[in-house]
Amino acid sequence: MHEDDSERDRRRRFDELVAPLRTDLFRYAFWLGRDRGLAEDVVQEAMLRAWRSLGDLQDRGAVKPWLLTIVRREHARQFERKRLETTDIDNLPPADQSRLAGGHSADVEDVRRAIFMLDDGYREPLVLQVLMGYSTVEIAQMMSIEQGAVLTRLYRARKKLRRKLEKSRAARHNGRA
Amino acid sequence: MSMSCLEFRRICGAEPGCSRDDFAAHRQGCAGCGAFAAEMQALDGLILEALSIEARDLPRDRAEAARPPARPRSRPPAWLGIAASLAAGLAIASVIWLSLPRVSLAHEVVEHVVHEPMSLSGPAIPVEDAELRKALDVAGASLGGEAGLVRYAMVCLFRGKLVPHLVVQGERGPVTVMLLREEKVSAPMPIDEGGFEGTIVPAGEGSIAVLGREPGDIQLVKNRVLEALQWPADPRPQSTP
Repeated sequence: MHEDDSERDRRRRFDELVAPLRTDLFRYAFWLGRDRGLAEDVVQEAMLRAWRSLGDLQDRGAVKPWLLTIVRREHARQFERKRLETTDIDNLPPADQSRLAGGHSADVEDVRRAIFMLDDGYREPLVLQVLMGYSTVEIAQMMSIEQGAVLTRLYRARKKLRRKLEKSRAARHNGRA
Repeated sequence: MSMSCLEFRRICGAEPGCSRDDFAAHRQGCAGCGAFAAEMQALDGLILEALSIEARDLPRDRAEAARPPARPRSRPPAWLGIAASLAAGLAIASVIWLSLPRVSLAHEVVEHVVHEPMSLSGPAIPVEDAELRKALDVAGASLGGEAGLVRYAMVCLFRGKLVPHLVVQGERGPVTVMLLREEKVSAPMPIDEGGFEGTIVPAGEGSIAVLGREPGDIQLVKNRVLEALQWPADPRPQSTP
């Protein structure tokens, strides 16, 4: 096959496989770092890395975990580089964090804020399970931890979110009374 | 041995959708745990919705997130509802206006250049041929030497596609050239935003965006690039190397 044809095929393959996953990649990157700018940079760089190493992807069915792994590594790289600039989000008062929410229900906004405040170790498996649909075995492989640890983190994450949601609902109820 | 309530709730808290038979049996046989499972599944629905963010819902960075909101979130007076409706109407109209392809493409090109300031800084030294070729390859294009001195060549993600992002040295300064295979324009589209001027013109299967800060340079580089650009609509081999 001529070089131009192979290049065109490569581009088509990339568009078919990778483009539909952009939103998922962005969401994953965002929830890893909780920073839109960082997420955009991570996804941009991850896409370029994916383009360069597209030939390494043998199994089309494995494209999503392959890309998520690239995003995860790229996030670690970029986060390390930008760490000094990004330290204050955990201390934001609740009123400021409300700006992170879109126009959803109060419950969704409360849960989103609570997820934002979760430790990284709790937030990531939750994102992989609920948003990406991975099993606890797959999450354990991706995060290089034991399945038992994943189960514990998921349990604790939901417990924290449930408590926060109950408190928020009670506060809203009292505010109306 | 049947599952205890404690064990059920531990599993349910970690995997509300657990498909184990003993889990399902306990759920059916225990009203309290059944209610707990329903609550966990409802919580998961909220979590999924909360995680499904869109880039446009978010502040650009943490500094922006940290700025105080423009308006307190206390109970709004009735008139605010009317004002909000008007504002929403205006916002929707603005979004529609902004989403018109002509405006948004030019805007996004400028935004891309602004977010890549390193492309315009540094000395006017030509990039390696291999680097230039690699950047052009993603669009199936090639560029003759008459285009001028190419000082920057990168593959960038633009509107979900990989595109060549070049900077050609003009007589007075750098001029950005982006090869947009997927962006078709029927006529030249002006760019005049953020201190940049330029144009997006039809080329190959799509278009090229040419922009800079010196109007004389833009015209010069645009003409040179259009002359030097080999960008077949169907990039079939023209000759065998």
